[in-house]
Formats: sequence, C-alpha cells, structure tokens
Amino acid sequence: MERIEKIIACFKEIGFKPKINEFQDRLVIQKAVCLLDLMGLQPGHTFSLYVRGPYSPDLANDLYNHQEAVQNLKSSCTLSKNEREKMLKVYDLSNHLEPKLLEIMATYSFLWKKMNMSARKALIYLKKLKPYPETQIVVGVSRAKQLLPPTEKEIEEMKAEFKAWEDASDLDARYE
Amino acid sequence: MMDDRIIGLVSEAKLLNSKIFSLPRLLVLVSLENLGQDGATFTELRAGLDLKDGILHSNLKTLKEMGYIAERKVKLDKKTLRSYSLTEEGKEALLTARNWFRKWLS
Repeated sequence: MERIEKIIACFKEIGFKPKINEFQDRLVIQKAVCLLDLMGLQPGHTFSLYVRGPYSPDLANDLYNHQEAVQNLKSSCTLSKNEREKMLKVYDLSNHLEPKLLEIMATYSFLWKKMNMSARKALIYLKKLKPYPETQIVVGVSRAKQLLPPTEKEIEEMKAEFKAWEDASDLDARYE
Repeated sequence: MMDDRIIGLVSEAKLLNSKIFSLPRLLVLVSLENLGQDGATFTELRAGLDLKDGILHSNLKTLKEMGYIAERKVKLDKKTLRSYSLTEEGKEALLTARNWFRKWLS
C-alpha cells in the first residue's frame, strides 16, 4: 500500500482523479509514474520495455487492487517539497497530462536514461515504437530533455555523435 | 529406437495446440503476457512487433477465434481503438508451449 500511497499523493497534488476502468487514465498514470521514477521519486514499481513502451505490471496490479483509494485520491502520504515540484514539472511539461505527449516523453526518457541508448538511437527507436507525427515527436523529446536534462557524460556522447554527422557533411561539401 | 526423452516429448506434444506455432502468433502472445488487462492496441502491436497490417490482423483474428486473446474497444485522445489482452486460455497455452520447448531444447 505504501508505494501506491505516494503515487496517489502525487496525483492529489495536481487534482487528477483517475477512473481506473478507463484505458486512457491507466495509460496516463503508467507514463507519468515512469517519468517520476526516472526523476528519482522511486515509488518502488519496476518498469520494463514492452510493445506499448515502458510499463509496470506491478503498478497495474496496485491500481486495480487499490482502485477505491486511487479513484478517490485517499492517501496518508505527505510529499516533500522536492517531490511536489517533480510532479508539478511532469504536469506542466506534459500539457496537463496529455496522453500522447506523456507516451513520447516517457518512452524516449526510458530508452535514453534507463536503457542507456544514445540520444540518437533512442529517437530512432522511439519513432519505431510510437509512430506519431514528427511535430509531436519533436515536442515530446524536447519536453523530455527539459524534464531530465542530459548529464555531462551524455552531452559528450551527443557531441561525439553530432561530430560524426558534421564530418560527413563536410566531406559532402568538399565533393560538391 | 526411441529413448524416454523422445517418448515424453511426443506424448506431451499432444497437449499443444499446433495453431499457435507461427512466429506472429507467438510474438503476439508473448508480448501481451505481462500486460494484463491493459493489453496493447493494434498500433502498438504493429509497431512493436514490426508486422504488416494484414499479417497482424489475420493472426489476431485467429488467436481471437482460438479464445487466446480478447479484443475490446478503448478510448484514447477521443479516438476509439482496439485493444488486445491475453485470456486465461491464452496464458495456459503459452505456458504449455514454453514448457514443451524447454524440454525439447534440454
């Protein structure tokens, strides 16, 4: 019960009252909690990559087992200031929990931060898993990067990747 | 001459439903295995499993007729989508197939 109480407290913070029988609300919870987990909130659910992107069977079970508490936002957990800020950041950057935006943000962040794919590889795989319009992908990836800024190591990796592209472009220019 | 292992495999093969032994069907069953009631939509399965529309559609239809998956309509972003989840029979068939394959490989 403890781990779901923290999640309920997070949704209480933004006033999101989910209906557990609704596919969309369950999806929103899965993706938002995945992002919170990547931000270090650690409610204790394990996420893995499935055909629908990152997903936690543990969390799905908790939602069904504590349906009444989740739907009525009953939680005795008090969030710290830092935890509240994290939830508000997810809420704002996902345009108030827009499902597709959350899917893109969570999938990209999971591939990049959890599965340690390079930023470019994560983008390629994201487009394969979530074949949404390019504009939505761009916005989602940009929001994910605002939510989870790259570490110095990741910035160096990105620079190395871009360098390879720049070198190829210079080579092309020389033959023009 | 057949050894005990082969006799066991032949005997247990009778418990299998040979209709699940196609790559798309096995992929669908395995990918839905841990998704519980949430299941996955047609688009998610097509993208995640890298299958063509027609191939996925016909295999989902067969699995549905076999009673191994259930289809229901769900709403996402005001659109109605088809979502698929594994039934108890589907879980059982997958488990039987997996156990048989383990013995076959050992």
